Amino acid sequence: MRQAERIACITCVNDERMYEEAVLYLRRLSLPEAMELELIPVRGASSMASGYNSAMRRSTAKYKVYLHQDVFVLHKAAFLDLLRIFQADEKVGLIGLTGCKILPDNGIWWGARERRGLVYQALQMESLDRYDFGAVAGPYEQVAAVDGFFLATQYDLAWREDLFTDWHFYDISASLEFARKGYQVIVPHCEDAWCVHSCGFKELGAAYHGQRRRFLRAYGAFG
Amino acid sequence: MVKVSACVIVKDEELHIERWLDNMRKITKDLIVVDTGSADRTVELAKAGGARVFHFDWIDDFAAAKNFAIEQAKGDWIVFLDADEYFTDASLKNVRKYIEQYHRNPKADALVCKIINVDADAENELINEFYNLRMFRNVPWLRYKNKVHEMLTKANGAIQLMILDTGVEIYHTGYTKSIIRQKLERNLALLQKDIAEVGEQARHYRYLCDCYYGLDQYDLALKYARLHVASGQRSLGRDNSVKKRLIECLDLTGASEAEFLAEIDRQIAAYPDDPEFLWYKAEYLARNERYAEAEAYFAQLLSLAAQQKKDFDLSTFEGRRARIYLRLAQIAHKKGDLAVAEASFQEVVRCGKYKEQNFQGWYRLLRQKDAVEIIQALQTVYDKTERDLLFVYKMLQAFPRSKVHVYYQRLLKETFGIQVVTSAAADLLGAGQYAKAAAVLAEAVQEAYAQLLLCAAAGKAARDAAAMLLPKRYANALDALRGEPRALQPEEKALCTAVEKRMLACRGDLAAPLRALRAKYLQARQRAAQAVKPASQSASGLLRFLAPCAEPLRILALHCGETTLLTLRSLCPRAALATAEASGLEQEQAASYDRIVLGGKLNDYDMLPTLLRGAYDLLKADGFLLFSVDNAAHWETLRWLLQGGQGQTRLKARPERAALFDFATLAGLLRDAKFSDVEVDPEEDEAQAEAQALLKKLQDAGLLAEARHFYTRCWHVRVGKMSEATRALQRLLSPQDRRELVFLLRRIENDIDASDNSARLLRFCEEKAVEAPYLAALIENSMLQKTKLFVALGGFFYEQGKREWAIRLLIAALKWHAQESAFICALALMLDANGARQGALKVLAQFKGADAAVERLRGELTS
Repeated sequence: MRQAERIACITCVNDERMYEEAVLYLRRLSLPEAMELELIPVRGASSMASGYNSAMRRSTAKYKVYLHQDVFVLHKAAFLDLLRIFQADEKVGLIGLTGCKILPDNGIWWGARERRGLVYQALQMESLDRYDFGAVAGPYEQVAAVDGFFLATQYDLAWREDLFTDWHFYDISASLEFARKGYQVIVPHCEDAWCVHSCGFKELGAAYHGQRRRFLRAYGAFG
Repeated sequence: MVKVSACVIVKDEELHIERWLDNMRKITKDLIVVDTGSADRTVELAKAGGARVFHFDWIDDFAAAKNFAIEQAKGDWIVFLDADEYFTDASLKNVRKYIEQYHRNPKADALVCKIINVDADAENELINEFYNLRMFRNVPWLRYKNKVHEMLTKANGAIQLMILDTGVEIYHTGYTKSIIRQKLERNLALLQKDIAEVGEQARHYRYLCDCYYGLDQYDLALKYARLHVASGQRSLGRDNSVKKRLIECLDLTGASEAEFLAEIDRQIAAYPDDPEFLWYKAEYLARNERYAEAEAYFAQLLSLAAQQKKDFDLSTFEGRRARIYLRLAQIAHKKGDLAVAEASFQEVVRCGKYKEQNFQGWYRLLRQKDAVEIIQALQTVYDKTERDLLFVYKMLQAFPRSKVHVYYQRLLKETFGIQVVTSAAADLLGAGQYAKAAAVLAEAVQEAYAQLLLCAAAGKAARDAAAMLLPKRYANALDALRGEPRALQPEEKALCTAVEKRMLACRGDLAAPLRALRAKYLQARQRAAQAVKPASQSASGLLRFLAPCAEPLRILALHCGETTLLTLRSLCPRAALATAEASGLEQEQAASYDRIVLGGKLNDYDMLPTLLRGAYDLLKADGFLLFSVDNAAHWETLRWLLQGGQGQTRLKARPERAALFDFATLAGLLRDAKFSDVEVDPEEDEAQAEAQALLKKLQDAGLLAEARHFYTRCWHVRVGKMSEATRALQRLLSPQDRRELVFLLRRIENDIDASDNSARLLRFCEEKAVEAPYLAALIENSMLQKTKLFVALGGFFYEQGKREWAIRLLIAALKWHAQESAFICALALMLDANGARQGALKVLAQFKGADAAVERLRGELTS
């Protein structure tokens, strides 16, 4: 039985110290009365999609936030804002914080001309950069795909662990899966970025492009 | 590439030879093992290990064997370790480097490195260490001499040694007890096996004696020594050793004196020329206060040594030489024959000239003499090298000051520029200039009285303490100062006037002179304790740059920039700060300053050394000189300053200049100076490349802490762009530490247990030596609400009593936040609270806009 008064934060963890720090931030976020927060770290997952699936099946919470272990949520009203959007419109299935209006042919969302959302990224430990992809008009805007560092859902759709055996494209795939089921994928309006993403700087290697090709084959013209 | 050969001479070294081969193989392929008759597997192992193995008949001559090994070597250089010695892993990579380096230097014949006696049983615990020659050029004129205690000599002059102070260490495990025991136990087992097969025979006795002796079983050793002697067995050349064992065992097993002495006499009769038996006898007599007889035996020993008879065992004698002369000196002293005592003691000192007790024993005898004679005598043993001069001067500190002290002090200064700290009065006293000494002391006493008077005038508690000590006329002056009617003598009036003037000068703070007096006293005591300070010690003893000080100092700032001035004002709020751009220093002007700061705006570098020296000489004895200049061309001056031991120096060097100096000097200097005194400023891209190179050298040399410190110091942040320096720094702080630091800051910024985490941050920074400028840059680059964080942290540090930290942090951030009123106000308030109102106003003046809060604060501070 899915519980509407529960919100689960699901995170794949391979760096305990980082996750410990991220939890400090999650625990201080505001929750509506009678709402319970459940923290679900997934350790030893073989891929992001498989990790998320196992946690998703384990949790009875209606609302789930899937976030990376290196995301510190600064915006104290983040849960309140998410719930308000979900509860106001049941067509909204997936909320991300950055994304694109139209997914480019190559599948790389940030290559899109029209992007939305805002995040602080720490590409180096000692620096912080504000990535402002584009202002959201109104309370939220529908987009084609959202980035996976922070995803919130109110319906459980299986993550495509059959396709994405690594750590990439599970997010873009989820965006398309929600759309296929008729749900909206949106980016909310934010005064300031909700999160600091201490992602570090990584070259997108062969793994990324392998998963990208797999994504392109599976989703064709993004249908 | 220089070719290197590794040589070793061995006998029964199967325990060690493989390690030696492994070790040397990392340096060269040309391995030469000269075997002098091993009975174990040494030769087999050496051959298997790829060495060229030669046999050399043992002729009781270490030098001959070693020279034979040299003849076999093909390399340009020879590395000649003992079989039980090896280079540590860290040293291996440097060995070739040094050889390559010194190969190019025609002046270098041989390299001396540190040898550490370690106990291999106790995880290589250090037993002791010494330096010895282990590497040298393979040239025909370098060969060993002396049968025992062989030493390398040069056929055509003095051998030129280079000391490898750092980077090369050799471990020597020969003193490891278990290794000795192991050998003995193995021998004993072999003997017992033989005995089991053929029965105990006379030929076994002396070997059994040796084994039991070495294994501390003296009763058994004694038994077999006796059996050997009784058996009439003889072994060529080694005959006496069993008899010596016999005598030692008698001593160790507590035999009666009669028995002991009878045995010695018997052996002397049998071997009248053997030094060992004579030594036993002489030492026995001396111990029993039979000096006249003892003296005769000692004299006989010496004359035998002088004759150098063929059978005479020189090595035994050499081992006892110091002891023999010490006994002779004692005996002569007892007889009242001071000349002989002194001459004998001189020989003792020759045997170990850096042994404190040797020097002091000798000097006690010498002291009776005239200074010139003493110096002449000392110079027969001690040379005018830095080491010798420093040693003598240090030793002299145990004796009352005399002209000898003054002589050595001057010699140290003139020859090596080593300034020995003493008081002027003590110098004059030592030189016998009593009238001048009296004048200097009188001045000091008057000054002390004047300050005491000043304290007494300040309050009742001080008065009670001081009144007893003051002479009458000061007491009269004191009464007058307290307002009691007194008819004063003219000089008493003058005293009153002087004190009143001083009171004016000190304004409210009359306790300050007392504190200054105490500080001076402590400082003087400290100096007395370490009158001689070799460069490394003196440099490490330097106080930190710009140490905060609440005293009303007089500071002269020459050629200083605004930041330096502001920092000075902030950290020394009560200081009277005079600034100047003068190209020279007036004597009267400079002599009264407590600190002189030479800033980076000085452009005329040619005059800098003169200026520095001048400033240094002019400075009050307890003053500090801060030296900050953008040009390291005055390396020599800096060295001189550091070695001088008094000044506090700060080098701000552009690294491209620093690179002109040899790295060893730089690294050594930087290490000595603990790095906090040295700042390298790589603002330009080229300079950064140089700095990178320097950093790499530091890393390669294993000076990681210094390297980190170095980059912490020179990190110039460019917001939004990661500079080379930043990346270098990131490599130097561990990723975990970097992350923890960012985590802590981010928690404080987001108000997650802010005060706990601020305290944690402070501890972290102190533990990891993260300095304020780095922290400031980190906040600037990686935090969202910088101003808020700076103000909050500054406030927290300040409240926690870490005022220096707080001020440094905010001043470091000033360049980014000078136009933010909250920041500016916080810094200004902090400076003002710390007593630096002028600094506070200067900070406020940097704010260009219009802001009510800033205006209000400005008004408050000016009123």
